[in-house]
This record gives sequence, C-alpha cells and structure tokens, in this order.
Amino acid sequence: MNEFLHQLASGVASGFIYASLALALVMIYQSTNHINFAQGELATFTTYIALALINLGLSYWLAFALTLVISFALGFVIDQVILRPVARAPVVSIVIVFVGLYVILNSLSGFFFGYVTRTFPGPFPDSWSNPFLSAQEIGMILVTVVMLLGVFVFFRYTTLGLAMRAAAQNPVSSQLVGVPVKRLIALGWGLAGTIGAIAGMLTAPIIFLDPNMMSGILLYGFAAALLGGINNPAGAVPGGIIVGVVENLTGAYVIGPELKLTVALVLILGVLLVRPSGLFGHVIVTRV
Amino acid sequence: MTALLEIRNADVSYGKTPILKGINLAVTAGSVCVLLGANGAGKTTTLRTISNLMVQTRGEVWFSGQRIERKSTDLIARLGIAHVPDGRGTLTHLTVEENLRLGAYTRRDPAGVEADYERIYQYFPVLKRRLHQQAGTLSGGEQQMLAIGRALMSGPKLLLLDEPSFGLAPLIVREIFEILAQIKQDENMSMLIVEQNAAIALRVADHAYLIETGEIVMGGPPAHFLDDAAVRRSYLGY
Repeated sequence: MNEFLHQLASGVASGFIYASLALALVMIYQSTNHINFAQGELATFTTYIALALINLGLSYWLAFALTLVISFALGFVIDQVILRPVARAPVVSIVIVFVGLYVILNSLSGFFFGYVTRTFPGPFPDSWSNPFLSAQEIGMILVTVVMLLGVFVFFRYTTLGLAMRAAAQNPVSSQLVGVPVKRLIALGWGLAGTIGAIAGMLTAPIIFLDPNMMSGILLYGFAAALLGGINNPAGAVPGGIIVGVVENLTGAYVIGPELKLTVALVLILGVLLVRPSGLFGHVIVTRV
Repeated sequence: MTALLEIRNADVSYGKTPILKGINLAVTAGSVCVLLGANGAGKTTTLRTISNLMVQTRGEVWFSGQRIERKSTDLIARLGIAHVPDGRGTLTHLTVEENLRLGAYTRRDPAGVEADYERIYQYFPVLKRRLHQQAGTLSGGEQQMLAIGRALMSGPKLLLLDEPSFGLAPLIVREIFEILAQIKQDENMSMLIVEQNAAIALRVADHAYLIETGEIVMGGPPAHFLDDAAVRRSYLGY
C-alpha cells in the first residue's frame, strides 16, 4: 500500500511538471493558433541561462527574475525574427519552422553549456519535504497552481486576454476593431517563453539539467494539454496529473519503466480519436 | 460641405491585376452613402482600401481631415472607422458577449461601454437572448446583427458595411436595413454601405455611387438612380 502511495505521489509530482510545460503550450496556442514543438527546448535553454547567471555569482532569486526577463525577450525575438516572415505561410511550413527551432535550440544548449548532466539549485527549503514529496516537488506544485490561475484569469477575464484569443482566431476581424494583432502575437510568445522558463527552472532541480531535459516531458506536456483541452488553460493541470499518474502506475505495475513514454503517445492518440476537444476543452461549433 | 471620408484617385491592384482605377468618393458627415455594383466590380476592395487591408494602393484616403492610407488597420479603427467586413467577420469561437466586448477594445470609458451594451440590445434584442452562446452557432441574420453591434461598440464616427444583405432571406434583409435606418435617425451615424441589392440600399441612402469594373460611373442622390433607365434595367430589374 505504501509503495502504491509513493507511486501515486510521484505521479502527481510528474503531472505538475507536465502541466507547467502544457501551460506554455496552451499560451502559444491561444495567442497564435499554433502548437510550438520547440517549447520544451526553449525552456531548457532558458534554464541554462539561469544556471550561467547563478554561476556568475548572482543570488538565486535575482538570477530567476533576470531569466524571466530574458525569456520574455527571447520569445519576443523568436516571433519577430523567425515567425513573422512565415506568418502567411501554410501550416506545414510553420510546423517545419518549429521543428527547425527545436533542433537549433537543443544544439545551442549543448554547444554553449555542454552535454554533461548538471545539478540545478532548488529554491525551496528542505524542511518542506515529507515522506511522499520532496521540497522541490511541493514548491513546483504550488508555483504551477499559481501560474495556472494567472493564465486562466488572464484569458477568461481580461480584455487583453480576450483580444489575444480573438487575434489568433480571426486576425482581420480583430484588426478591424482596433486590436494590434502583431503586437499581441509577440506578447503571447514572450509570455509563453516566460512560463516555459519557470517550468524549466522548477523542473531542473527535480530531474537534473541536460540539453534533452524537456524532450520527453514535451510529449507528456502535449498529452496533458490535449487531454485537458488545448483551448482551456484550466484543463492543463488535471490533464497533467492524469498523464503523470497513469504513466507512473502503469510504469510501476503494468508495462515497466522502459515503455513509459508510450503511455503519452497512447493518451494523445486516444484523446484525438475519442474526444478531440479534450476533457475540459470547448467544443467549437461552426455553421457553414 | 466638408467630407468625413474622402478617397482621391485611388488605384488598387492585386499583383498585376488592377481592381480600382482612379476612384473618387466622398461621405459627408451624418449621411448614408451607398456604393452599388455587381459582383467583382470592386466594392469590397474599396472598403478594404479605406481600412488599409490592401497591399498595393496609390492615391489618398482622407478621414476627419487627416490622411490615413499609410496607417495600420488597427490604428484606422482607433480613429473611428468601424468596418463590418464581407462574410461578417464573426469571431465564431467566442461568445456573443465576448464579440461585443471585443468591439469596445479601444475604449477607455467603462461607463459608456456599459451603456452601449443596452443601446445595442435595443436595436438587436435577439443578441441579448443569445449572450452566452458561441457566436458560430448563430444564424446568418443574427451574425450580421452581431457584426453591426460589434462595430457600434467601438463608438465609431463612420460605419463601413460590406454587403449586409449577403446570404440572407429577404425578410431579414429588410429588418436589417430598417435597423440601419433607425441607427442613422437616432444617432446621426455616418455610413458607407456596399450593396448588390440596389433597391433596398437606395431606400436608406442620402447619396449613391455606382461602380463598374473598378471605375465609378455614376454618383448622385438616390432619385437620380431610380430615374435612370439603364440603372433600372441592370440593377433594379424593372
């Protein structure tokens, strides 16, 4: 029984890691209508920047704050320099751009910071630990819940969030009511970069930092976002928890740890087949 | 009389294909101006030129005493031009309420915005009943009403309406034009309406233009059009 509870707790903790990355995916999707395959690598890259700042002698929280600013700027620049030129391109071209971005960011992390696995400091005091969850896992869960609330409130209740959703869905109509569409897309990228950086910096103390840190997590993050409903930020956390728990329990008791990643793919496939809008997503109905 | 909106010598093309050739057009403040013409004559392009949604434009567009042909689309909207595009531009994934709220995006007077919701429900009571429904599920006529309501929410000086009768049953078309006439009467709203349905559009118009293959071939008061034998034969069907 105790063993089962441990597996469950560790599943929940992983679930929140997936949820935090899923939130960044939802952010980009809501503001640009695209799935950013490079989101995980962007998070890893910015986590390395945080580590470099800490190694320069900055305090943890100063490095944390600076990294958020840098990540916002990086997201913004990626939109302006890389995505703006292909804004009118067909969706396949944009997917290819994202895949290219994935490879480039992954290689840059390795090139600048090396492929050795490193430890990353955790900000939360060890006294928070309990038999089931480490202090870093508990802190990560708390921060993710706060981020979720922030993103949810932003899209649901603020005019800026509404304008961002509108700009992603129908840029022309949005411009015609005065929404500065290009600026809002860049803002969406900046915010997604920031959320991704938080996800990276809180994940790294738990699973260690290496250039491929987020590769697997991105798949689980997709599964979490799809399961929760890609157009509903509030779905990302339950989506993440379900993916984390199912993955951990099946890994421990059914299929063994080697096949764990398959769980994410099966979940993605299952959601797309059975309920494409996800558990908590809005079904989009259109008259033609 | 000074014009609220004026297009001077506009040449517009898609790639190498010229669409508008030397268009001159003016809308006086407080009046309803109608641009008539057949499919493909350049009506929609004229409106898109005003909102700067076209790539290649030569000529000048003046609004409220300033040139706007190089300004961005969202800035032009901010200046007070509310453009209801062809196909209504419904934000189908958003609710009716969110569509209206988006219309007020540029406004900074919450009290005025609240009052405008009520004003719009008076013109279009059906929108109030559908407030939390996804806009994509509305009927064509309701979506047209929502599009006009969204445009009014911005508190515009000029309404641009692209084919408000498009794809609608005759009864609904008449209802929409009656409401437009009401809006004009209540608020002294200036409008530029593009229409294929000449008969109904001329009823609300103070001034009309006829566009054929990218050129304005006729302009004047509605009576002028109703008396013209060629216009009656080609555009009014009697």
